[in-house]
Amino acid sequence: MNSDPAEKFSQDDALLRVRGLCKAYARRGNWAWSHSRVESLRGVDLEIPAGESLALIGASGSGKSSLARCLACLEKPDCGEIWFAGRKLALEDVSANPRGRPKIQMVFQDPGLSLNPRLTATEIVTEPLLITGWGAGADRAERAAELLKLVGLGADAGGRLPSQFSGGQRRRLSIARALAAEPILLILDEALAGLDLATQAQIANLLLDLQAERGLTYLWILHDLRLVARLASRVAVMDEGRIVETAPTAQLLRDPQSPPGRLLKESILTTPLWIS
Amino acid sequence: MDSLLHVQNLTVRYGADGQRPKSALCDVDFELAGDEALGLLGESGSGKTTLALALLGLLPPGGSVERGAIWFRGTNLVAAGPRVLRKIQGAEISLVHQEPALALNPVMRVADQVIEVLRAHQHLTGQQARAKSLELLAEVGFAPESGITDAFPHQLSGGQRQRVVIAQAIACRPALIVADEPTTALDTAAQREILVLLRDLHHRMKLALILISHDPAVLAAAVQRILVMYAGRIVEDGPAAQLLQNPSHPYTRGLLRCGLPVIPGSAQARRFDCVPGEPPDLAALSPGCAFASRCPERMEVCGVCAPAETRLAQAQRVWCFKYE
Ligand SMILES: Nc1ncnc2c1ncn2[C@@H]1O[C@H](COP(=O)(O)OP(=O)(O)OP(=O)(O)O)[C@@H](O)[C@H]1O
Ligand code: SF4
Ligand SMILES: [Mg+2]
Repeated sequence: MNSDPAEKFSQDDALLRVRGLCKAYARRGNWAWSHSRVESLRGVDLEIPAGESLALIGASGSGKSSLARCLACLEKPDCGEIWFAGRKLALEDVSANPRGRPKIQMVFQDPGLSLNPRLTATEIVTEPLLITGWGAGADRAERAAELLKLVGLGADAGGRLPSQFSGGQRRRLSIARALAAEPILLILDEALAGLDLATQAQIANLLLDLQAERGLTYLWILHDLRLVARLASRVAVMDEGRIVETAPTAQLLRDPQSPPGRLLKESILTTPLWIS
Repeated sequence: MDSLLHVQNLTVRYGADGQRPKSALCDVDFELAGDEALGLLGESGSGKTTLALALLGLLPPGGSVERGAIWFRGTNLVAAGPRVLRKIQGAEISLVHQEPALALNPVMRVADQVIEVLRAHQHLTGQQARAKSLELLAEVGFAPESGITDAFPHQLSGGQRQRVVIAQAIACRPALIVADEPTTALDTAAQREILVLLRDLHHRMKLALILISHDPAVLAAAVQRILVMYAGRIVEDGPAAQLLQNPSHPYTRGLLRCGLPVIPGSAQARRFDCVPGEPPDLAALSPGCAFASRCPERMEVCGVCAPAETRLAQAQRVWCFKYE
């Protein structure tokens, strides 16, 4: 993944191809006899063509975030294959590969938890540059300033701590950090959740603009189908650790085929207003 | 109007020692009838939770009512002593929070948690309390044979936990339930169920409801009337259908434009048409309309003084110079 992977695979190939991915966690119960294994991924098959926006939807606990973490190298899958830009990736996590996968980055739902509260904004976006050994000190400082500007944070943002930003600004900061390593695939795990409508729309616009400018591929994890309708061209429905349905967004929202897909559709809050 | 609640010029400040004081609520004024379901719509920091807490006399340390009154059944809660407030909290007015997990005791079975609330406010024998608690849990959709009444909170889904909290909230047959973002932490299926439950309880038990959300679609699913809040002020008040379909205040219009269509593939661009900028710093508000810094229709007068209430129709009010 060190040399430019984007050139190594043919154009018609999917950027990301996942085959039979499995992951089980040991779960501690309240009593010794209740320790159990939770199979969060039970053979996931998934493909994302370069430049696409795919939305992964599914009830809570269906395995969406586990899949995201396995793709971003935060967790090691138990079995299966991950192909990225024409190469098969080793199944590993950060303990085996401290640099992670620079070309696959993740933006989290709660930047409050994923941003180090003791680092300034500049330090937060510089961290991935240090890990990947990007440039010299002065270049990194310049790059950090560029990144903060790119996501719409003001010139005075660099010296501030995460707690000194609003929720929307913290979301911008975590996007800047994810972009630092120049990813090709961004995994947006509920990256718009917990924001009010106006802020949500602003962050969504930022992500749409970045995608258009940089030809990024997005894997959205969303629970709000109103956002799915607007942001994704294709949808994959996840249920109990498997992908049970994939379809173009319009088709899935009109006529979902799988029972979980139908359930999700029924839960949309409709008011006359949203159908304008 | 036969009002249950009358909030008059309520102004609340936060300002613990040393901090610059923030006016979290400024001259909030509305009435609520005993059979009404009211929605509070506003973005983060607009003062929705502050208003909810003020209604229950539960403002956090550092927060204080600077002026105004909260009349509830003839008592001014702002002036009432702790004994009166304790009798009203949880019994006549009850609160449902955003995060059900925090409201429940993790080591207590569901039915016992409801019993605890009952016994805090009513003199009941153990047997009476147990029967009553099973009745309440049935009201929120848990039959005794479901096994849920004997479960612990961690064995329940987020939606089920929120139902338990609602059973506690209705335990003493309150006149008013204040639900602060009750569905924000839930997935969409559970969200819908909880909204339907709240709406049903409002009808069935004839209780007044104040539902708080930043999402117009959530309010549209459960309330008849909406107050829109911005920077601690009410900027618009009207019947839900009217306000959502034909908003008057520039802020409401902007907020609803970020609304998200369900049906994809419509001709409109995918980018959202949204309100630019961020809400003002409540500790450093400039004179004039609080929305002026983001308003596309700002006029000169808007920076000079704050707009007053303008009545557009019998039940429709707006605070904006365009209508004065
Ligand atoms: N305990 C407190 N001390 C100081 N300031 C506070 C306190 N609680 C709230 N505030 C401030 O008061 C204002 C209103 O906050 P409030 O929590 O009522 O808003 P909200 O509309 O409920 O927002 P959200 O949608 O984020 O829940 C904000 O500026 C907030 O920072
Ligand atoms: S009073 Fe002026 S600034 Fe305020 S909302 Fe109306 S037009 Fe806009
Ligand atoms: Mg709140």
